[in-house]
Order: sequence, then structure tokens, then C-alpha cells
Amino acid sequence: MNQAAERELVQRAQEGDSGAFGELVEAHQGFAYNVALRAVENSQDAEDIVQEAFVRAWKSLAGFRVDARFRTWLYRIVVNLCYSQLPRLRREVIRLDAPNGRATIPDRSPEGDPAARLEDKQVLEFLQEQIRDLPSQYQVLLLLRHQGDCSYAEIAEIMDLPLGTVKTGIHRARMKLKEAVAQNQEEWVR
Amino acid sequence: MNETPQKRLDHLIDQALRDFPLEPAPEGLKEAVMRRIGEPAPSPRFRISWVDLALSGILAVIIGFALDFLQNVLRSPYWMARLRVSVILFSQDIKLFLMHNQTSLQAGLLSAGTIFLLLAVLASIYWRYAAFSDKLPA
Repeated sequence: MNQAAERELVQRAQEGDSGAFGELVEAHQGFAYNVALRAVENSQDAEDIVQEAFVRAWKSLAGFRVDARFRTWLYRIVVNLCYSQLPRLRREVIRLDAPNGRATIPDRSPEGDPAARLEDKQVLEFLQEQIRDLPSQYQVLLLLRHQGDCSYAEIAEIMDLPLGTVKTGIHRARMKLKEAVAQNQEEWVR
Repeated sequence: MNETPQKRLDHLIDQALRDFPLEPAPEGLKEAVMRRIGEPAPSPRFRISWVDLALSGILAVIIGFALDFLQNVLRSPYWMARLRVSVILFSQDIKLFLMHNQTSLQAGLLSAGTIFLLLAVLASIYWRYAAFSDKLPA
């Protein structure tokens, strides 16, 4: 859904058109559910959170600024509810900015590069397994960035984090994936 | 096109992240939302969390200690006499203070009352308007 169409739906919903709000729910329920699912790692809790987020959005819609992005506002409600459900998540997210003791960087030489020797498909499958195993705070960041096409600033707003923490978190998540590939290099080439 | 191994890995990571399968939204989610927004708002559920239990426990222990202490004091004639003297002295102090500071006390109470009233009005305005603002965290 493009922004203009979304804005129009939001305006209609603000005037009390529940049908327009239904279209917004339809458009965003999938992604909002995935954000909640990555955060709380439980499908029932994620469903409850998304349902509650939409209900809260409906109730607060009158005060929503039409020039703002609806999805940013909605996902922020979702993330806030996840934080309430799982206080541990908030602590872990804040900790993203803490200095990381581990500084394992994959070998930068062409000989040491694992991906160079393997089929793309095999590496992609391995990477997707690794993404699934990442801690939830990283998964939420990566989901918003790469599948939600959110800017760093938008993610910072959604997750109520400083911009630097978001950048560090995403960088660190990618480094973890690279490290995982590097660690499995030997096994693959064997 | 030749690319460095690092760039290739970066591209593969980008692709893996982009193509990572998303779970479909649960069936009936939209219907449940639409049903709920059509209903009148329910009253908040009463729920006891662990904080409530912990606070109640701490409060119970403090009250228990206080009662035990008071019972010991009330049984001892020495402590009872000291308590009576202290109460008399304290009430005298209060009376003296009120006699000497009646005007300033009244002014202080009036100022505190006005400030409290003003804060209550401001809080009421804030919650009436800002509660519906998107700036307020949900």
C-alpha cells in the first residue's frame, strides 16, 4: 500500500470509518504479527499483542497526526506491548549499545572466505537457519530493516532507541551471521 | 562481474534477510480486531502480579514488627512513662508552634493548596488531550 492511499485510509478511519480501519488492519497485520512473533517467540502471545495493538491504535487514532507514518506508529505500539509482555527484551535491546567483548571478524582473505567456495544456495540456507537462531532483539531489528524497509531513524522511533544503538545492533547482527559462516567454513569445505 | 568475497557474503546475507520467510498472520485476526473495536470498552481486568505480592509481604512484615515492638513497649512501665512524657511534650511543641506561626502556616497551606489545584488542572488537561496523541507511548 502506498503512503497516499494509507493516509487516505487513516483519515477515513479517523472520521470513524471502521471499514477503512479494517483495510489498514488487513495491510499491516502480517508484518505486525511477525514483529511481535520475533520479539516474544510465541505465536499465541504475538497474536494477542497484535490484536491489542490494533485496538489501541483505533482508540487513539483521533490524535494521530496524518503527516506521520501509520506503520511507524503502529509498530511502535506493537513493540511497546512486547516490552510490557517481556521486560527482558527491553533490557536486551538497551544492552545492544554496550561494548561487545567478542571481536571475531571473519577472515578477509579470499582463501579464507567460506562463501567463495560454496554454492550460494547452501550458504543462503545456512544463513536463514542462523537468522532463526539469532536472539530476538536482533531478529526484530533485522526484520524491520530488511523486510520492512524501515530506515534506521524509523527503527529507532519504533523501538524507542537511540539511532546509534540501532546501527550498532544491526551491524552486530550481521557480524554474528558472518562469524557463523566463518566458523562453519571448515565443515563445508571438508 | 567479479566481486570480493566479503562483498559476496554481504550480498548473500542481504538476500537471506530479504527472503527470510514471514509467518502468515493468524486466521481470524482481523475479524477479532474488528469485533473488539465495535464493542464498548471493557473495564480494566483486576490482576495480581508478583510485585503486588512482594509489596504485600514486605508491608506485612513491617506491620508485624511494628506491632510486636509496640506490644513490648506497652508492657514495660518505663517505656510507657517515657512515651507519655514524649506525647505530652510533642503536643505542647505543636501548640506552641501553632501559636507562633499561625499566619505563616495558613499562608503556606493556602499556597500548597493553590499549587496542588493548579497541578491537578494541568494534569487533567494533559490527560484529556495528550492521551489521544500519537506521541504518548501506548
